[in-house]
Amino acid sequence: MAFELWIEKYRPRTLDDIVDQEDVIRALKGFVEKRSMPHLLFAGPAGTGKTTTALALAHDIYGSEELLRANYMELNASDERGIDTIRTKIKDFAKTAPFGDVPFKIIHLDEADSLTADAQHALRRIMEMYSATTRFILACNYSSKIIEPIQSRCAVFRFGPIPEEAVRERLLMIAEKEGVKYTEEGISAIVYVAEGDLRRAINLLQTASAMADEVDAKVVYRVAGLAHPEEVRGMINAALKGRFIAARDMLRNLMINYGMSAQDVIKQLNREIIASKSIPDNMKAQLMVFLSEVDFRVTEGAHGDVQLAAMLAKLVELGESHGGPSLD
Amino acid sequence: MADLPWTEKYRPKSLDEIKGQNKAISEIREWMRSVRAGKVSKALLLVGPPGSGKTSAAYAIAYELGYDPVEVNASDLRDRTHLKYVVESAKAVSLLTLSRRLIVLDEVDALPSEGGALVSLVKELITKEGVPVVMTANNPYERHLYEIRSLSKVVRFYRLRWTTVLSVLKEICRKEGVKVPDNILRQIAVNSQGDLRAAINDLESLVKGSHKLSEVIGKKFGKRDVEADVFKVLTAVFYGENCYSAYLTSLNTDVDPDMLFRWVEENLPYVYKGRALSKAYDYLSYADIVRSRIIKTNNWKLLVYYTQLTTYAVCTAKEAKPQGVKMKFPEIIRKLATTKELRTKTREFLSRLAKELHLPTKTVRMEIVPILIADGKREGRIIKRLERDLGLREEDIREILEDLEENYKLEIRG
Ligand SMILES: Nc1ncnc2c1ncn2[C@@H]1O[C@H](COP(=O)(O)OP(=O)(O)O)[C@@H](O)[C@H]1O
Ligand SMILES: Nc1ncnc2c1ncn2[C@@H]1O[C@H](COP(=O)(O)OP(=O)(O)O)[C@@H](O)[C@H]1O
Ligand SMILES: [Mg+2]
Ligand SMILES: [Mg+2]
Repeated sequence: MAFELWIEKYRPRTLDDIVDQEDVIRALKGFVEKRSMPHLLFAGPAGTGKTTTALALAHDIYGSEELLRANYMELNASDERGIDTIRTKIKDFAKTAPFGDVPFKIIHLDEADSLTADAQHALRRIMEMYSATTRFILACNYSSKIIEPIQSRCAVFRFGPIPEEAVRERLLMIAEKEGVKYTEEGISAIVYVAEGDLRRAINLLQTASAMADEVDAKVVYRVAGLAHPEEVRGMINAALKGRFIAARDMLRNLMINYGMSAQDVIKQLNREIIASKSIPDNMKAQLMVFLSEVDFRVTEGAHGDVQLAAMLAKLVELGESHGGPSLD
Repeated sequence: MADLPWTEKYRPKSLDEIKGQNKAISEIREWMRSVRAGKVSKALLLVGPPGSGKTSAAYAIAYELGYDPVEVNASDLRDRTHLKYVVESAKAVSLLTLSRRLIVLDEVDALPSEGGALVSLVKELITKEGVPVVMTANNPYERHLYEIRSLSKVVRFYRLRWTTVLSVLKEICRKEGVKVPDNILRQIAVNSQGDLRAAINDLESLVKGSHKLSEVIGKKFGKRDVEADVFKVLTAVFYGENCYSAYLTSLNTDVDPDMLFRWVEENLPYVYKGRALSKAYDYLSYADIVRSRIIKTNNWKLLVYYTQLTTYAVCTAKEAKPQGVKMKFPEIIRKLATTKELRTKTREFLSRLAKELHLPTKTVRMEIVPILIADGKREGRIIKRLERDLGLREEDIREILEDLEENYKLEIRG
C-alpha cells in the first residue's frame, strides 16, 4: 500500500536496503539462500528496523508480494486481547498449508515482551504445536524479558540504535526527494531528539514539514514536545514544583488520551529521574524504592492511574523538602 | 427476537438461571417434588421486592415441570363465567401440547379482593382439583392476602445484592458485545437497590444511547440524593475531626465503594497539601491494592478495609484544618463515559492504521496522529489518500482527528 506516510514510503522492501545492522543482515541472507530458517528473536529499541527486517526477510524468502501476503501474518502482542486471541489467530492462520514452494509460513509477533511469563509459556507451546509448518519471528525491546525456554528455541538477533550519521543521511535523502525545505540545525535537532530511533526521526521530519514551511530547530522541538517523553518531563517538573493537580492532569492525559500504559509511564519516569542532573542522589534513591513498588503493584492488578498519582504526591512532598528541584 | 427488551431477552428460563435466590430456589424445588408426586396440598406464594425474579421463577417452574403455564389476571377474576372456564380447562390436559397446566397468578397483592373470588379460586384449584398454583406478590402482608397465605407455602425472595446485579450486567454486556466501564456498571448496580429489572433497563437505555449516564443514574433516587450522600461523606472525611464518625457516615449511605473512592481521590488534592496529600494518597493507593485483591480472590470480606482506608485513614492524614472547596465530580469517570461512540470509531481507525503501518497502536497515536492533524490543516493530501486506501470517508477521518487533536494541543504556525 503506497501511503503518503514516509515511514511506509521509504520502508526498505528487501534485506539489501536495510540501513546499518550489517551483522544481522548477513546472517539472515543465509536463511534466504537456503530457504529455511529457525524461529527468530529480534531484540532492540524501537525504530531500528525489527519489523521492517522481518518483512524484508519474508519478502526475500517468498520471492513475491503475493506469496508474502499469503504466507506472512503479523500480530502485536500488546494490541491483542491476551494469549487466547493470539492462539486463535495463529490457529486459523496455520491450519492451511503454506502457498508456493517454501514449506513454512511466517508469524511475526511484535512486542512479545509485553506478554506475561505465563502467556509466554503458553506461546512456547503454541510455537511447538505448529512447528512443522510455521516459523515465528518474535520482536521485543528487551530479550531479558523473554523467558529462557523461548530464547533457547530461537536464533537471537540484536538490533542496535541507528548511528546518528546514518539517521542524518536517511533524513537528508527523504528531505531531498520530498522537496522539504530545512536548515542544518533543524535536521540536527531531529537526529538529537530521535536518539537512534529512525522511525521517530522520519515521523518528526514529516510532522515538522507538514506544520511549517521550513523545518528548523524551533519547529522540531515544538513538534517533539507533542510526543510523550516531553510530557512525562513536564509532569515530573510540575510535581516537583508542588503543582500536583496539574501533574495529575498530565498523567491522565498521557494515559487516557495518548493511551500510554502505566508501565510505559513508569519506564519513562524511571529514565528521566535516574538521568536527571539536578535531582539529588538521596532523593533519587527514595524514588527508586517508590517506583519499584508502583511497578510491582500495577503488575499485580492495581489501577495504574491511582498508583502513579500517589507517586506524584510523593514527588511533591520530596520536591518541597529539597527546595523544588526540576529536571535539568 | 432481536427487538426484545433486554429484561425479556435475558429472562431466566430455568430455575438454575435465577441468581442470588438460592434458599428460595431450594424451597421451590421441594414444593415441585410434591407436585410431581401428585400431592399438591398448597399453592406456592413467591413474595419479594420488584425485579428479584419472582415472575421468572413462576414460569421457570412450569417449564421445568413440563406444564403449560396459564396466567389468570384481574379481569379474569371479575368474570365468573370466564373463571369457571379457566378452572375447567385447567383440569384437563392441553389438547395442543398434551401437557398439564399450572396456574400463574402474578402480583396477587394487586388483584381485586372483592367477593373473595381469588380465595375461592385458589381453594378450588388446589384442594378440589389438584391443579398447581403459583402466585407472586410484593407485599405479603396485604390484608386481603391473609387467607391466601394460609393456603400457600410462602417463599421469600430477597433484594439482590449489588454484586449479584453487577455480575448479571457484566454478563449481558459480554453477550451483547458492548463495553461499558466497570465504574459505570457498578454505579447502575448500586443505584438499582437490588432491582435487577431496573438495572437491566438502565443499562439498555444507556447502551442504546436513549439516555445519558446522569439521567440513568439520577432516575432512581434522584441524582441529587446520591450526590448529597457523597457530599456528606466527603465533608466528614476531609473536614471532620472525628474520623471514626466519618467512616460510619460512609456506611450509612448507599454510595458504591468504587465511586466513593474516585470522589475522594478526585477532590483530595484540592483540600490536602504537601505531606498530608502524600500520606493520604498513600492510603488511597493501598485501598486500591485491597480492591484489586478483592477482585482477584473474590474475597469480599476485604471490602471493609477498602472502605476504611478510603475514609477513616484518609481522614487521619490531614494536618492543618483544610479550607473549604466546591466538590468536583470525578473527572476520570466523566472522561471514560463521554463520546463513547466516537471513541469506538477512533479506536477502530487507529488500529486500522496500525495494521497498515505495521506499528503498535500506541505508536500510531504518538507519532502518526500529529502528522495527520498537521496535514489536515494544510492541503489534507494524506487524509485524501487515506480516504482512498482505507475506504473511509474524509468527514469521518476529520471528525476523529478533531477528537484526537484536543489532546495534543497542536496549533499551526502561520
Ligand atoms: N534499519 C533501518 N533501515 C531502514 N529504515 C529503517 C530502519 N529502521 C527503521 N527504519 C524506518 O523506520 C520505520 C519503522 O521501523 P520498524 O521496522 O517499524 O522499527 P521497529 O520494528 O524496530 O520498531 C521503517 O518503515 C523505516 O522507514
Ligand atoms: N434473580 C434473578 N436472576 C436473574 N435474572 C433476574 C432475577 N431477578 C430479576 N431478573 C431479571 O429481571 C427481569 C424481571 O424479573 P421478574 O422475574 O419479572 O421480577 P419480579 O417478578 O420479581 O418483579 C427478568 O426478566 C430478568 O431479566
Ligand atoms: Mg516494530
Ligand atoms: Mg413480576
